[in-house]
Amino acid sequence: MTKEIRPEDCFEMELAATTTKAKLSNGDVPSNKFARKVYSYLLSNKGSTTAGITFTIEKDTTVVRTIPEITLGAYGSIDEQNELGLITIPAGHNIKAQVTTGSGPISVIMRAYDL
Amino acid sequence: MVELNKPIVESILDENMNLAIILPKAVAKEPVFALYFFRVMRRFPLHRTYDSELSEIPAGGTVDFKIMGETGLGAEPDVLTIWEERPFRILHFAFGIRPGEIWLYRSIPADTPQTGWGYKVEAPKVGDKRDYVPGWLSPYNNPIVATECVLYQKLSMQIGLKNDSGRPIRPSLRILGAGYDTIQITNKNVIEGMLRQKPPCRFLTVGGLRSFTWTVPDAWAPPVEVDRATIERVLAGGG
Repeated sequence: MTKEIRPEDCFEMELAATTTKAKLSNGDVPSNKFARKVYSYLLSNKGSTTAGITFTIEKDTTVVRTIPEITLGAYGSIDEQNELGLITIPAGHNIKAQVTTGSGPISVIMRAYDL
Repeated sequence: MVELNKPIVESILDENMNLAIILPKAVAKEPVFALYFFRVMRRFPLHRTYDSELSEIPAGGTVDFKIMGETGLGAEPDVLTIWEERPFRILHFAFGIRPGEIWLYRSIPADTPQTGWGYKVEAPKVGDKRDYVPGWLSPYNNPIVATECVLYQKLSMQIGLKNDSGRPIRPSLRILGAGYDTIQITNKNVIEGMLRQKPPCRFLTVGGLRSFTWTVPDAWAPPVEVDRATIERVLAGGG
C-alpha cells in the first residue's frame, strides 16, 4: 500500500517575480506533511535585459536555504524536470522568489507534489 | 483472506455465489452477531461518478457527514437509496477518491460514523486523523476493499470529506461495484455449512465496529444469531 504519485496529486506554484521578494502561490507546505518535492520548473524572463532569480526556502520569514541564482538572457526561458524532485521544501516551510539581477519580471511556474 | 488493498472489482460476487452480512447484536464481553445469508441470483455493475456534485474544499477544510444527493451532498434524493419494492437488492461497492490528499469518512448507518479503532471516546468526527481512507489508498481509477460498503433497503449512509492538502481542491469520487438480486437462505444446515465455508460464503461487515442499532427490510426472515457456542459447535462439526 505504498503511496504512488499520480497526475491528480501534482499541482502548480506560480509567481511573476520582481525585485521584491514574494511567496509563490500555494507556496506553503502544510506542517502535517513530510515534505514537498518540486519536480519541474519553467522560468521565463519577460524583460529585454538579462535577469537573475533567486529562490529561498523559509520557515516563516527565516531563510533556511538559498538556491543559487539562475540567470536568464533577455526574453530567455529555461525548464527542467526530474520526477524524483529538483528541490525539497520541508513541512511547515515556504518558497519565495526574487529577481536579484536586473529587473525582469520573471515568470515562475513550478510543479510539485507533497509527501 | 481479502487484503485491504485488493481492488473492489476482484471482490465483487458472481451469480450463484453466497454472501452473509454481519450486524452487531452485542459487542461487549459476550459477543453475539446477527447474520443474514443470501445467494446472488443476478447482478449488474454499479458505476457512478460524483464530481460536479461536490464543491471545492479549502486547504485543510472539511465537509461534515451528509448523504450523497443527486445534485450535491445532503440534497435529497439519495443516490444510494434502494426502492422499498426491492427488499432483496443488495449494493456492494467501493469508493475511488481523487486526488490522493482527499480523506473519505463513512457513516453507516447514516448518523453512525464508523471506526475500526477501540478508543473509549466520542464518535469519530470528520477531520480526525483516524477512520478515514485517503485517496492515495483507494484511487479513483481503482477503488479498493478498504472503502467497501454494503447497503440494502432501510440502510443508508453518509460520507464526510477532508482536504488534507495545502491548496483548495474540488474532489472527485467514483462508486464502483455491483448490485445483486438475492434469495435469502434460511436452512439451518446450509447456513452452518456456510459458517464452515462449505459451501464458500463471503462474509461482509455492515458499517464498522461500533455498536449500533439497525433495521432490515420487513421481508427478510429473522437472522441467525452467532455466538461463541455457535462457532464452537460448527467448527466441531456438530449440527
